[in-house]
Amino acid sequence: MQSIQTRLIIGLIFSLIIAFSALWLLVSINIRYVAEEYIASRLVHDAETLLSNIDFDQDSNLVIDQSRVDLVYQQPFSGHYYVIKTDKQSIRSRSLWDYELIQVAGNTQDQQTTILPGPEKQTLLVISRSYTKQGHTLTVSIAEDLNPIDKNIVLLQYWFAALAFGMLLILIVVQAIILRRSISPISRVHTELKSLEQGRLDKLSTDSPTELRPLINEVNHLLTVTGQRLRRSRDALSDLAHAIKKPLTVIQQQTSNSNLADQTKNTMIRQTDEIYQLTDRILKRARLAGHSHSGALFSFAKDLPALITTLQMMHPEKSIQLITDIPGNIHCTVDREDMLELLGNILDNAYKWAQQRIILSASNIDDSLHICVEDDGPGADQENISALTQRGIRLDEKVAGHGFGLAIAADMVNDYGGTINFHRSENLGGFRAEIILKYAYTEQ
Amino acid sequence: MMDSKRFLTPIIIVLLISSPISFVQADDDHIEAKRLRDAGEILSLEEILKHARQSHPGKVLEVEIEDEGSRMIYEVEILGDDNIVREIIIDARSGELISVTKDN
Repeated sequence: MQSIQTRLIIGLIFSLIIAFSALWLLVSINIRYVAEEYIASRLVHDAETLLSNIDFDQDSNLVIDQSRVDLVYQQPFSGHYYVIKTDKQSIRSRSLWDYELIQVAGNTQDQQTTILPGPEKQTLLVISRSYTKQGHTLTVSIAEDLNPIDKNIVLLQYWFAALAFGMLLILIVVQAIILRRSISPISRVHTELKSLEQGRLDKLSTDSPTELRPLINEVNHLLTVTGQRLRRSRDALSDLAHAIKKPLTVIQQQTSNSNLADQTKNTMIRQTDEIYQLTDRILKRARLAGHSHSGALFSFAKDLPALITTLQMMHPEKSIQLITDIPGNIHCTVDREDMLELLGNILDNAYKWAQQRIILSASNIDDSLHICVEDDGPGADQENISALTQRGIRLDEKVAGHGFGLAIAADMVNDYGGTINFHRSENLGGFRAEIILKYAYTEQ
Repeated sequence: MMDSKRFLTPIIIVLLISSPISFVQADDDHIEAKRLRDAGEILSLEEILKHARQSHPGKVLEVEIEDEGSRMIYEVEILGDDNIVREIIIDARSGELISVTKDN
């Protein structure tokens, strides 16, 4: 869809072009009309002067006192002409010289205005009117060349068009500036929504135009509601996991003490074990996540120390030295809770098996985030390592110990479209997990 | 055309007889010019001016027609674009340029 800005500008251009064209047409027509009216009134005046200088002699011949007629009527092709007609005479101004002005028809009491071609491509405005003087009827046609005025009118039309075009440009530019300014709050909301998505904000700013405020309030309200709902369901899940543990223990005890067939007993124990581990995972997740705003991004600087503290509390029997090698400006686009669970599981595994030291390193290479966790524990043999990277084996007892948490981690990396590899650590001799996550994936 | 000719000829004759010669030449030379032109004896002023303007563009100030006995000539006063007034004499029958003089 077109942007609001483009649509408004296009609409504006169209309406302005129509408005200016209409104005141009109106002015052009009117200026011509006014000019012709002005010339016509002057011509009538000249015709009356002519009339006053006309006399009829004894033979009823028309005589004009030329000395009192304007000299332009004497100068050949001057652009000013007259023709006077009586019953038996037709007198043309000297300015017409040998040019025959096509006569306006009829004896008319009313003034007749016509446009006729003149000599040398002149365009003549001709006014004809019949008068009676000394008992004789005569028709006076008086004409003036319109070309000089037409030239000026054309010039005026050009100027007007140029001016209108200039105004059009200025108006469009001004409008574009106004539009950009009024639309800027929308762009700001857009950036804020991005920040919101990345967890840098937990609410949209309400300092915005009244048109946008209902929308912003609605979004903020929705955020509060979903946040509350999320927290409530997480709390409920963790409560459930907690509550299930006790009955599970009872079931496990009762099963081992019962005199059921061995096969049934083993199946029961294995199934309850699975439920136990699942609830463990949920509880761990809840503990790691704490009570933060959902949708926030993981920050190594802010979130890692808390995670390490939690892990040390979870393994109080060990005093392990955790060495971190993470640049201060590291870029991470992974959701905070996901990253806590991912790192939590891998580090938890490392804590479980390490004797003294764990190295956690992270770096940005190309367009991805590389994380590496190594420990100085016993490590895993090649068979188990290859089993770990297969999907769907997370509850397989063959990889018990290393298996469960790592399988969860592998699953999560998979969800993010990244890769996870397990090796033997070159530095510490124990287990080494390497994760590569692409930035772009999370921004989809 | 025929009508006007029939009307005009007596008028010219009357005017020629009844009025002083100078008056006829000053004010009614155009009537004579029209008669001659209608008779096909001379070119129209439009054509004469076209010829004159080809060599001397400008504004026409005054036109006179004269009978030199052997030929009719047009004397055209043109104010040139260089603000110099020139008198151009043209053969009224052929439109041929006879002479150009600068007015003093």
